[in-house]
Amino acid sequence: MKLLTLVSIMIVLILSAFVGKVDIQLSALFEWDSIDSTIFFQLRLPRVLLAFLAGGILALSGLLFQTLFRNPLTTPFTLGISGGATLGAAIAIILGLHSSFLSFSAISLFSFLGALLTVGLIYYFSKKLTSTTDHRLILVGIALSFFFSSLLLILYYLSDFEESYLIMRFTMGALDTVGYGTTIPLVFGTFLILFIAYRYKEELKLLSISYEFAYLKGVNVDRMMITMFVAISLAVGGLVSITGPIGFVGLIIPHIIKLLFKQSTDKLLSITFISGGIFLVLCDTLSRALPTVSEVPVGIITSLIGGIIFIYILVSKD
Amino acid sequence: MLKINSLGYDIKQKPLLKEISFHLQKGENLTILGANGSGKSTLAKILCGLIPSEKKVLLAGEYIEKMVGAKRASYINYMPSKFSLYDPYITLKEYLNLSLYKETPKEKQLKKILSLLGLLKYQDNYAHELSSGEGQLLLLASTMMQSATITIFDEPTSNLDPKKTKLVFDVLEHSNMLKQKILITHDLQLAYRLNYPILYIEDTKATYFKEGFFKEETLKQYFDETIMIVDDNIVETL
Repeated sequence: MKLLTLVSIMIVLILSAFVGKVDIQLSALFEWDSIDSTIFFQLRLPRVLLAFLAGGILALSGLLFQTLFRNPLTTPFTLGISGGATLGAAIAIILGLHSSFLSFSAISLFSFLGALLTVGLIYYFSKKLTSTTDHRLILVGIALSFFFSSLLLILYYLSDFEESYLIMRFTMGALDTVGYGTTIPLVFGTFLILFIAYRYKEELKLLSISYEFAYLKGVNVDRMMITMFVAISLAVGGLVSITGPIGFVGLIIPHIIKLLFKQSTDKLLSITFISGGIFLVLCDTLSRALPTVSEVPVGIITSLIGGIIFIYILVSKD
Repeated sequence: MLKINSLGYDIKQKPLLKEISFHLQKGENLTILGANGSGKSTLAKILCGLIPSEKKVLLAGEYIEKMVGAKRASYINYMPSKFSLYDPYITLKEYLNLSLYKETPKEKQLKKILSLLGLLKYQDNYAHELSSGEGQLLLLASTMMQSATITIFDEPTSNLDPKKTKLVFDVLEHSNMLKQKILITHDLQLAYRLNYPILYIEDTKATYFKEGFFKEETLKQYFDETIMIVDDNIVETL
């Protein structure tokens, strides 16, 4: 069964790499200097990989955050991480920074710094609050998000035409990449989030009953929540700095998986990661396949399709 | 075993509890009585560390806030007055197995407790589908699984029909899975039958009765004319 799932995932991933504006000729695929081969191995495959890891991280971080804060509306972005990352990117764009470090652009680096700064802020505020059960931490995150988006609007207002296009394009999320360099932070992020999820699997299940329950059974809940929060945020921050914020995956995939499988969180970790990955790969494939002049940003497709599927599953359950 | 020293607790600068001290010896039980809002549950949560305090609660000779989680859990547990859980897809069996964090599952014990409380037929159902009364029994089952040295029961019979109330009484009275018990209740018949020493909380102060609380003049002092003892039973008059 596991092997079958694995094989079908591989098939979906490889097949989706054949979809796009340019048709790939199978015969030319393994002639290394052919255009087809370059497009397939340097553009399409890294892009599919990027989409799979990004979708996986987003979905799993959504599931973990929802359980950690026991709030079904929490997303990887609720706590302001993506707001901070987007603001960082916008600052780099306005400053006209075009240099790059290794294979990462100044925009990505600034964006990651923005995410890190937000994690630091949230960590600082969480220490001020008496207990992390407090919904005030989520409210602080939401307030930070609004604060960042106001700053973003100011930058947007001050920017010229080209800059404002770049900022807007970043906020829509994109998965285009050349080569495998940009996928490296996501590979790290994937390891980090999977490691932390499985490391705290048992504690997560205790916490999914209640804060008090986990505490009374002997879990050091505050330390666990902060550790998980920081690790997940790093993974998400790294992701957003590469792809921009891609909405909705982190909210709906965990809920769809919960509704379909009806099991406790600890049993749904890998299936949520895989489903998020496949969902984003399919959405991105669709964005390439649509007969439009330029590609439709993938964030728009995830929200459109995801929203419809989500409402259908919610309503048909009753 | 459990000692608190001139403990105070304020809510919005107004004292709820003041200068509360007592010492629960090894093997002793206790019933905490008091009107709604007098601070019984707050006291209970301070005792088990859910509400943080500094150098006020000594558990087995150690300050509770300094204790390692697993050790604390083996010494003290708290059963809340209402059953609730976030994840709707946790079964009764899973819930009870979670009561033993980092310990080996005790399959036999689990079956025994479930059948004693009449929950065996639901063992694979989702816990959140239980009625409020059954939920309260599941909370009780969880405390039996954990079997801490001291367990605090916060109004364990508040949602129960008479048969289930009797069941809870029998468990508190006879079960060897529960060791020392601290009971918070408004059910005076339950308190009377269990006959633990009484700690009565009123106007931020606590009064301790090793025995003799259930006498006509004491009852009259605390409950006016609403409570009487008739034929060795507590009767509420309305």
